[in-house]
Amino acid sequence: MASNLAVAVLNGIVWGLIMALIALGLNLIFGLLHIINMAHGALYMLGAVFSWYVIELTGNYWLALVAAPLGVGLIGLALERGLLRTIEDQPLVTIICTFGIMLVLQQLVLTYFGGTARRIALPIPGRFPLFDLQYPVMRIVIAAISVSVMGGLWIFLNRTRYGLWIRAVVQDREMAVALGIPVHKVYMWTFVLGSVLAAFSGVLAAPIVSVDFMMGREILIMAFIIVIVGGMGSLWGSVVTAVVISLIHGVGSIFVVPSTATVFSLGFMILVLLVRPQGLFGE
Amino acid sequence: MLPDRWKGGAFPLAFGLLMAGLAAVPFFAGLFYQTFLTEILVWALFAISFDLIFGYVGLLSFGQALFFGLGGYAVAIPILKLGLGTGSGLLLSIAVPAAFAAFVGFFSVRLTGIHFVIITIIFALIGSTVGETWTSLTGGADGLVFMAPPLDLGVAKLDLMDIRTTYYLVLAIVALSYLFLRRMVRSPLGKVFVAIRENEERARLIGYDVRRYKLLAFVIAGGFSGLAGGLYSLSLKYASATFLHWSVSGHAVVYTIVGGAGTLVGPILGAGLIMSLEHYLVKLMQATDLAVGAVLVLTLLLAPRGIAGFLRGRRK
Amino acid sequence: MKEGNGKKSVHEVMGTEFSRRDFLRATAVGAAGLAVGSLPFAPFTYGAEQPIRIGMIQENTVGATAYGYWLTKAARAAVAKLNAEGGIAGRKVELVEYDTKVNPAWASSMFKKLILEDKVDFTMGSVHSGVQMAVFPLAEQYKMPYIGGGAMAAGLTGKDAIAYYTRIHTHARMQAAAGWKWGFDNLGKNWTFLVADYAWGHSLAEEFGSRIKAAGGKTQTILAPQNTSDFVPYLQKVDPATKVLFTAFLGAPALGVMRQTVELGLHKRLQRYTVICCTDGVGQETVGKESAGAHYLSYYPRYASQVPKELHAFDKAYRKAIGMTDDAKDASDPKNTATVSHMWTMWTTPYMIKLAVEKSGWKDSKKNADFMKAFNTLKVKAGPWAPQGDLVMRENDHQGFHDHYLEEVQPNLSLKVIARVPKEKLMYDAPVDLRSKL
Repeated sequence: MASNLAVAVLNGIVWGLIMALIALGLNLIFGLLHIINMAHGALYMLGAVFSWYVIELTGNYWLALVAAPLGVGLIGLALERGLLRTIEDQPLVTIICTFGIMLVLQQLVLTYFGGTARRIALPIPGRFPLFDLQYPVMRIVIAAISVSVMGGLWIFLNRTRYGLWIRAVVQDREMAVALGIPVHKVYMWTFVLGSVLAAFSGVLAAPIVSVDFMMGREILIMAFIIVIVGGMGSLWGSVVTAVVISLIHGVGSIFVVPSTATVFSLGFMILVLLVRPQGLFGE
Repeated sequence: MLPDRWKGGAFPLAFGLLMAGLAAVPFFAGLFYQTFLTEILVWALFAISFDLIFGYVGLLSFGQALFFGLGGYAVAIPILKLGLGTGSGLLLSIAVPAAFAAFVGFFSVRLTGIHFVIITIIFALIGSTVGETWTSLTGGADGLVFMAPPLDLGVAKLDLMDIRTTYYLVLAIVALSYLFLRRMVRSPLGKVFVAIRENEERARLIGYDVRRYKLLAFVIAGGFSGLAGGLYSLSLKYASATFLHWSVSGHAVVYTIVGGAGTLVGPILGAGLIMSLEHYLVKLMQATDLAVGAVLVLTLLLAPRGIAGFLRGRRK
Repeated sequence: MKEGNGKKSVHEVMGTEFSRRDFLRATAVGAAGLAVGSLPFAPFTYGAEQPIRIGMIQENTVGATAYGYWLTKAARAAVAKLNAEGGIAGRKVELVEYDTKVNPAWASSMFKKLILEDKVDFTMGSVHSGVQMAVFPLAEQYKMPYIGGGAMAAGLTGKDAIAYYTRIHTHARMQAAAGWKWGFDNLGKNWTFLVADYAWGHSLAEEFGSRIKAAGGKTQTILAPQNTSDFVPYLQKVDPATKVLFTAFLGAPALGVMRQTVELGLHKRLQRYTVICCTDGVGQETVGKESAGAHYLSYYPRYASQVPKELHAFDKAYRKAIGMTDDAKDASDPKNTATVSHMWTMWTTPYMIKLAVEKSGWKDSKKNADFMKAFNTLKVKAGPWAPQGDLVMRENDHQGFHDHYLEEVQPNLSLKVIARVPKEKLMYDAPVDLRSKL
């Protein structure tokens, strides 16, 4: 039991941190820009798919970790400039439009990448003993990378000029314009940043879950739920919620059937939404 | 343009002609087109029910699949396991989802905007998780196959194995549902819905219990979504937990947006158009969803009020 | 309009009727004209009958594309060979193909199209149990013979069986009958079933598990959702006393569970054994070098070198016709692994359709029942059309019986046949009697 619990907790934290990254990307786009991006899961998937191609060509996972998100960032750029800019202020329209984009991206990947799941070799093989089980080292590395990226994001938002601009635009858009902040550029780069984060988490998750064109579908919903329950605009909220939900599910699965654990975690989220609609950490 | 006293007659005329045309279809179109139209009608009903809450009340719910799927099971399970008749099944396909909608709606209407969207999705997720794992009841993703007994109407027994009969039954039910909903949105109730959509705060300040009206709309929409699901599973003689998945709600969303939200006619147009498009495309390409997604995006960018909205706008 | 109330006048309504009659009359004249006009061409068309059309549904998109790709390839190659050898009863054979999208509702629409719009004579295909369940009512209603492609739920020729469905290949119950004893005797007596939480997964756990328990072994069943990506929470529940880990998932999750089993080091202390369905179409190099030592119950040896000697020649010709190499890769794309254990059904089925047509004297849909009766009493001998070996159909439950194999992953990641289970050893009592239903 002790080893079960230990694995469940460790695993819950690791997954929670991966989900947190995905949710962070969504939170930036959504919480700050109020763009509801239903294609976010597809961007996560694209990150994994691009990384597969990079690894095919170069054999280097770490290169993929840098290159793939940048590639997806470009796509994010194209999406924001080409499609979303005209409808940014209409949230319901944006939901539906990005839903359509999600369909298109998924089907394009299906056509060119194919429908079968493909594997990315663990860049850091090896296990360490955890009670009477072994736990893959890679997962710990992923968690560490995730934490560093989150740290980097925090520094970016709170200690750089660009981060200041983002926060200003969120707080009071008109004032930001009056102050000479290039608001359109801020929107654009924030969207790109969110896409990059989604893709980055896709590359991180790929060695564990394998690359598959549908991998974004379930992730998407979880990401949304995490952002809403954690509090739109609250980055801490996303991180905490992601880890908490992951832990509930992981630890719960020890005692009950996993689908029951899923239903419980979903129920918990409904409760939060009803009791505190602004989310756990939102204002 | 038209004299005023003609305008009153314009809708009954148009509707009557359309019904006559649709009723005549089995006389000059083959069995396949009859089943195809039956399918379009069923999805159109699902889309109309979505339009009620989205187009008229302004609530975007991606969770309507929950009621659609429940409607399917409300027909399949009583027939298969309790030996009930088709008529009872159809009635249950309205009542059971409506009851669930009352439960889901009770909690959901407390929230607005994106929160509403998310909570409806969460409920649908719970529904599909339960549906997929409670295999002894639902057959899970593999589903339940059943034989629909003839529908006993008292004056006649309708054999649902006959394509033409099923077509007429579905046509009649969908037409009646449309008329009912049309009457509703043109009534004072409908005007309250629109008022809530336009400005919820103001509606509340005027004195309307906004939550109650939203709940009412949600329950009615849930009932009709369920009816659509029931008709669908009757026409397929099959119900599956896959019908409960939130992506099925996407159909209603796409048809309504492309056809034109807030028009009731739009969703029907959207369903017909997109499904016909898929039907022709399937011979050329396998990834028909690609085309559907592209059409959706283009519609939103170029004609955000959909086809019906576009046409209405031009007439003014 | 005669009146101003917007209503059509009687004349206008009657006028519509008359013009429709005129239209019909014109069409009849036109048709007659066409018939007469085609007579000069009669020498070219006279005597050549309508082609026989086989409708095929496969999973071409979404998660099962390897199956769709290879089953389609096999079917097309088989039809080409049939036509080269004179067709069926002198008639050319045509394939009409649709994708199921792994979606039962969509598959049902496509199946309807095949029957009502394309008006095919026979239907076959699909490896998905849910899809097949969804089209069963249609097959029954229209008395359309439907020959399954590769769906493994036992109930399809059991509790859910219908008169117009037949299956020439294995399924969960037959697999358990074929494979449980070898595993019990050679791998261990304590088993854990980590399976996908739906009919196919339950089926395997139940069929294998009940036989293990009856022989005095111990079993544990862990259910995981089909779309699980992180198996650690489930793998950690495996009983420490377990000796054999039996996993059953499809697509990306199958790859995930196989790899994570290794990542957790479980492959060092227990044996891995499952049915080939989890990895058909997936090269073992995709799983990784640690997949060495895993065992699979398969229905056709993946590597040509492992095919029994008496079947070598047939297998060689078959692989050539399909475009598959001796190590089961696509001749035009070495990264693409063939779903060897599943696709042979689409090669043999068109030939069996031919046999059944000849046996029953089938000319058109009026004789569909006779066709089904004939098909389900076929005994096919190993040959160019049956490289899998002898195949015997049982008419009680419309089920075909054939040999199975035990394959082990070698250190070089190829698959070696270490045992063969003849079909006589995997018989079970027919759970249903469909003979009176035709």
